[in-house]
Amino acid sequence: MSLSSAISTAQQILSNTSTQTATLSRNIANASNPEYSRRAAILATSLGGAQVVTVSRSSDAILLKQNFFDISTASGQNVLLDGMERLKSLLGTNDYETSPAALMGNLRDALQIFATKPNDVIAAQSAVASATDLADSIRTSSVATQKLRKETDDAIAGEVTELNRLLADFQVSNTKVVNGTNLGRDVSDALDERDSLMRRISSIVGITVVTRPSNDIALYTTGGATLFETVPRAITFQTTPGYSASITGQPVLVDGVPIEMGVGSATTARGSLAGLLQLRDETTVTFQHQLDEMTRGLMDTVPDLFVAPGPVGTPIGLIEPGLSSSLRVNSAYVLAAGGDPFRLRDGVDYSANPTGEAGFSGLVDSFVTAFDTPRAFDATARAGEELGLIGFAANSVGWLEAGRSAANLAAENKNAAYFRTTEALSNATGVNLDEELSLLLQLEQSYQASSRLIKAVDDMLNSLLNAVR
Amino acid sequence: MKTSFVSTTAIQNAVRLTVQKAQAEVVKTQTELTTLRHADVGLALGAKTTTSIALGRDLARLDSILDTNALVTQRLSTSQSALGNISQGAQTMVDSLITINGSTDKGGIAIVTKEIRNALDAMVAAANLSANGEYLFAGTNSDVKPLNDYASGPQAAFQAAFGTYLTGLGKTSAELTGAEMQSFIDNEAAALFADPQWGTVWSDASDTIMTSRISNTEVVQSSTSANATGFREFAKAAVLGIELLGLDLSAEARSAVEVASLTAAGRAITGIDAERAQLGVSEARVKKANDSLEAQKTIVRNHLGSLEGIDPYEAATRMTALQTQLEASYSLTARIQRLSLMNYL
Repeated sequence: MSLSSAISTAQQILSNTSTQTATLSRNIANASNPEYSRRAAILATSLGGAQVVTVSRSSDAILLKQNFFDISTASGQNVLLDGMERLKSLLGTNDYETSPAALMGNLRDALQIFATKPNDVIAAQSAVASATDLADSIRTSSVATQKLRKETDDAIAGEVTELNRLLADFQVSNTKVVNGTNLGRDVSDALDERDSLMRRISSIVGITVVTRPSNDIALYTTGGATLFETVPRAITFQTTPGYSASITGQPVLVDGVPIEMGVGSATTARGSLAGLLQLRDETTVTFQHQLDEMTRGLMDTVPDLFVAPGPVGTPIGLIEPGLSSSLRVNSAYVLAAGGDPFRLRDGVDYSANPTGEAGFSGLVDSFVTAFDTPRAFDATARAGEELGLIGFAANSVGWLEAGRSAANLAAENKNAAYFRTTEALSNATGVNLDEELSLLLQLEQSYQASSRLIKAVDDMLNSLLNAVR
Repeated sequence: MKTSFVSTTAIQNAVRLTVQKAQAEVVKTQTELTTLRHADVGLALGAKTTTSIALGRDLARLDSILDTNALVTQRLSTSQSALGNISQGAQTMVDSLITINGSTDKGGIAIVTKEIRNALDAMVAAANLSANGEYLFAGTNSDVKPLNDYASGPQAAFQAAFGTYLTGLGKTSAELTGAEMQSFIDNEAAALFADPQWGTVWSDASDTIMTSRISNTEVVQSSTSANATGFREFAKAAVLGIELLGLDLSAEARSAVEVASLTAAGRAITGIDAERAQLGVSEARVKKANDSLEAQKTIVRNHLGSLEGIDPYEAATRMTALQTQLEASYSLTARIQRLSLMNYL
C-alpha cells in the first residue's frame, strides 16, 4: 500500500513540475514583453493535505498608479511642446529671420536708407519690398496658426475616437477579469490586457482607478468625470470644420462633463487631450492675438502702406480678431502692380509733399522714429501694453520662447519620470531570465528525483514479484 | 514568490535613456562648437530671447545708420568742396574788380568782364553739381537742376530790366547820373536777385534744405540751397560787372556800379563761408555720431555675444565628457547583453 502511495506522490510531483515548467516557459517567452507580468507557480498544501500548484501574477498597485500618472503628464507635455515647436518654426531658425520683429527691423532700416536718399527709386522700392516681406510673414504666420488650430482640432477628434475604442475594449477585458475571478480561474492574461489598456487610456486622458470587489475596475478622469463604470461612457466631441481668429473650438465631453485644458507652459495637462485643448484654445489663440496687435500697430505706424481688408473699426488698444490674416501692402505703393513707391515719401495722396520735391524726407523719417514710439496694445496679447511696435514684436518672440523653454524642460523631466517608473514597474513585475533559468534547474532536479523515485519503487516491486515467482 | 528585484527588460533598457540623452547632447554641443552660439537660442534663453532679438535689431539699425551716414558724409564733403570753389571764385572776382577800380581802360575792363563771366559760369556749374543722382544745392527739390545758365534766361531778364529802366527815364546809359544808376541797382536790379524773381529767373531750388537722420536722436542739415544769400550776392556781383562795366558810363554811375559789385562780391564770400561753416558743423556732428554709433555697436555686440554665445572651452570639455560617457554606455550595453546564465549552463 505504501509503495503505491509513494508512486502516486511521485506522479503528483511530476504533474506539479510540468505545470511549473509550463509557467516558467511562458515567463521566458514573455521576457521582453513590457506589458507582461511575471507569473509564479507556487507549491502550496491544499486543505485535503495534497500538494498543489497555484499560479499567481506579480503586481504593484502603487507603482502602476504612478506609472499611469507619469504616462499622462508626459503625454500632455509632449503634445504641448510639439505645438510650440511648430509655432517657433514660423519664426525661422536661431536668428529669427522670418519673425515679424526681425522683418520690422529690416523695414525700418530700409526706410532709414530711403530717408537719406529720398529721390532714389531703388531705395523706395526696397523699402516697399521690405514691407511686403513683413506683411507676407505676418499673414502666413496668422494663416499657419489657424491651420495649426484646425490640425489640433482634428487630432483631438482622432484621440476621442481612439479613447472610445479603448474604453469599449476595456469593457470586454474587464468583464473577462470579473467573470474569471468569480469562477476562480486564472485571469492573469486578462489582467495583463486590462493594465495595458489603462496605460493607453492614460496617455490620452489622466485617470483615477477604483478597484472594486471581484477585481472590477471603475475609471474616472482626474477631473472626476466617469469614463468607465460597468459600461463605458460616451466621449463626445464636435469637430470645427475650419478655424479663423474669431472661432472658438468645441469642448470634449466625458459623460457630459467637459475636459479642462492644461494651464501653464510646464503644463498641468494630464493626457494628450488636455494638452491639445490648451494648444488649440490658449497658446495659438494668444499668438494670434499678438499677430493681430502687430498688424494694428503697423497700420498705425506706417499709415496707408499696409491694408488689411478684414473687419476694421475696433478702438485703439483692443484686439481686432483676424486682422493679420488679410494683411497686405497697399498695391498703390507697389511698382510691379502699377503703383508708385514714392507715395511712401509723399503720402498716399501726395499731400505731404504737394510739389513732389525729390529730396523731401520728413514723412519717411517720421515713419522711422514711429517704430519706437510707445503705443497701446491689448493686455490679452500678453506681450506688453505700452511700448514701441518693434519692442512688442520682440516680446512676442520672448513670450513664445519662454513658454517653449519651460515646456521643454518640463517635458525632459516628465519623460525621465515616466521612464523611471516604467523601469521600476518592470523591475517589480517583469521577468528575469536568469532567475527563470535557475528555477528551471530546480525543476529539472525535482523531475529527475521523482523519476528516480518511480524507478526505485518499480525496482522494489520487481524484486518482490521475482521473489514470489 | 518573486525574489529578483531587476527584470531582464529593465537591465536591457537601463542605459537606453542615458545613451539617448547623451547622443542628443552630442549633436547640440557639436552645433555650439561650430557656431559658438547656443544650439537653440530660444530654449537656452527663454524669456530673455526678447533681449536677444532687441539687441540684434539694434545692431542692424546701427549698421544701417552707419551706412547712411557714409552717404551723408559724402554729400557733405562734396558740397564743401563745391562751396570752397565758389568762395574762391568770389575772391577772384573781388580781386579783378579792384584792379579796374576807377579805370576807364576799355581793354582792361573787357578782360575783367570776361573773368567775371567765367567766375559766374563756374559758380553756376558748381551749384549744379550732382552726386548719387541728386543735385546737391537744390534743397529738397533734388531732382531738378537748381540754377539756370546765365545765357539762358537771367541775362535776357537783366538786359530787359535795364532797358525798361532807361526807357522810363528817356535816357541812354551814358546819360545816367550816379544817383539814377544807384537807384537802378538798389531797386530794379536788386529785385532780380530777391524773391519772387530769383525763383522764376534764376533758380529752381527749394528753400527747404535736406536733412538726414544721423543717429537715433539726431537729425542734421545735410545740404544747402542755391537760394542762400551767398549764391544770390555772387550772381548779383557778377551780373552787375558783366552787364554794366562794359558800357559807356558817367564816372559817378561807373563808381556806383563798381561799389555795388564789390559789396555784393564781399557779401557773397561771407554768405558762402557761412554755408560752409554750417555744413562743417554737420560734418562734425556726423563724425561724432559715427564714433558714438561704433562705440554702441561694440557694446551691443559684446552684450549679444555674452547673451547668445557659449564658452568654447566649456563646450569642448563637455564634448569630451559626453564621448567618454557614450563609450562607457556602449561597452556596458555590450557586456550586459553577453551576461546570461545561459552561457554557463
